[in-house]
Amino acid sequence: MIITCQQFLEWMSDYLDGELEAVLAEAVRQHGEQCAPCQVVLDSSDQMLRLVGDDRLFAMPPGASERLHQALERGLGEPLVPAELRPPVPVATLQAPRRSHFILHSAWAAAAIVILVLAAGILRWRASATTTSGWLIDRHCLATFQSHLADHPRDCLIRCASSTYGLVDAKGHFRPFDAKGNQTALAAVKASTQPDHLWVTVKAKRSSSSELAVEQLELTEPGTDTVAAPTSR
Amino acid sequence: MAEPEARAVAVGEDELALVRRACAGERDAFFALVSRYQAALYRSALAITRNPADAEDVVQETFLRAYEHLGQFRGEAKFQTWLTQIALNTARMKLRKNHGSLWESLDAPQETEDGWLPRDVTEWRENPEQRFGREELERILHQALNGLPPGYREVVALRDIQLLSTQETADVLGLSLANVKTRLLRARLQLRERLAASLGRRS
Repeated sequence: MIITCQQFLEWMSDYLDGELEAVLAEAVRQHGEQCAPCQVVLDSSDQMLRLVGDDRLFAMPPGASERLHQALERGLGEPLVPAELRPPVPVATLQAPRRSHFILHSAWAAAAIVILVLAAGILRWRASATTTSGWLIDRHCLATFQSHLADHPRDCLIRCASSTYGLVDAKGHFRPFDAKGNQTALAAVKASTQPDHLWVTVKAKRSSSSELAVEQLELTEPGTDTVAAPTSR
Repeated sequence: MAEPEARAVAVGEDELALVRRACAGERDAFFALVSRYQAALYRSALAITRNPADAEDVVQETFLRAYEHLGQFRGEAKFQTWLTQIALNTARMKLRKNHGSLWESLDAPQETEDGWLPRDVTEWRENPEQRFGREELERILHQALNGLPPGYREVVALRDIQLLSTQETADVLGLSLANVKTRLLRARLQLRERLAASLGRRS
């Protein structure tokens, strides 16, 4: 089968991936033997794929793995209960005792009420804004400054604006801000002249993605845990 | 003559067990998955965001989101594919945040019909790995990758850097297999062209 240079180039990528059917692969190989420029393109492409696929290149920089694991340790919150201490998952079996319809219906009704009450509680909890305070930091610098959050400089915060801002609360948990919170925090930091010790107090709701949906944000004295009432115009 | 070769990432046989344990809330299992995939995700995140600090952020945010949504992992796709989908979305958001106005060009690289045809057909030097130091080679590759349109960087990052299969790349990008193959061909030819200046014998 004789193919053109155009066909050779179109099939070359599949050929290099070993995804070209045998007849076409043979045609590509034969064309390469007779066409020097196409052969150069094929060989250099193959060489390029070996280079970019080499996992020794573009390795994580020194310390990045530690930073990642430390950040995850903090970001994932409290350690989960070890498997051996968790209650066993109930398994439905064919030998399950038969219950009367009345008991069954009562159980379903009770479960539905409990779920409704819980759902209402969660919705109310999510809908209500609460005040939270802590050291202002971005996710990128979290691991580096975790033992001395107060020293994180204002200039570094501004440089790291493309990361995600948040606060480290009293329990030591990082609470990321939503997009609005990030913008407000950046504006507040830029407006401030304080070089470090950046403590922030926010009024925020908890969004579904565990981010703080920030309604109000202020840089306050370290330890402050209230925000000033919004001034009416 | 370059021979076709199956290129794939070896996935440990106990991955599913680890995922199940992580889904059941065992943090050790989750951290084992983090250790397994962090380097691969970092490499493709770096190719997409073009910035080491952003790539680190992407990897971190990816695992935080993955942990939060572990319950939604259905096991229909491979865990790495699911994870990469999260990483890609995170990297895209990072790019959008940094370069809002460039966003339109992400999915559809613009070029003329014959803009992808090779022009530089100089032979390459043998063993560039030995000829150049690791750092110099990284710089050359980084520079060439950075010049690709974002849509091409994505496909190269997933298929050629992270070594997902072509089908997995299509799944992650939400594109048809044919579309991914076309994009991959053009991205590879363009990347090769950009590298020829540094790795060709003439240079």
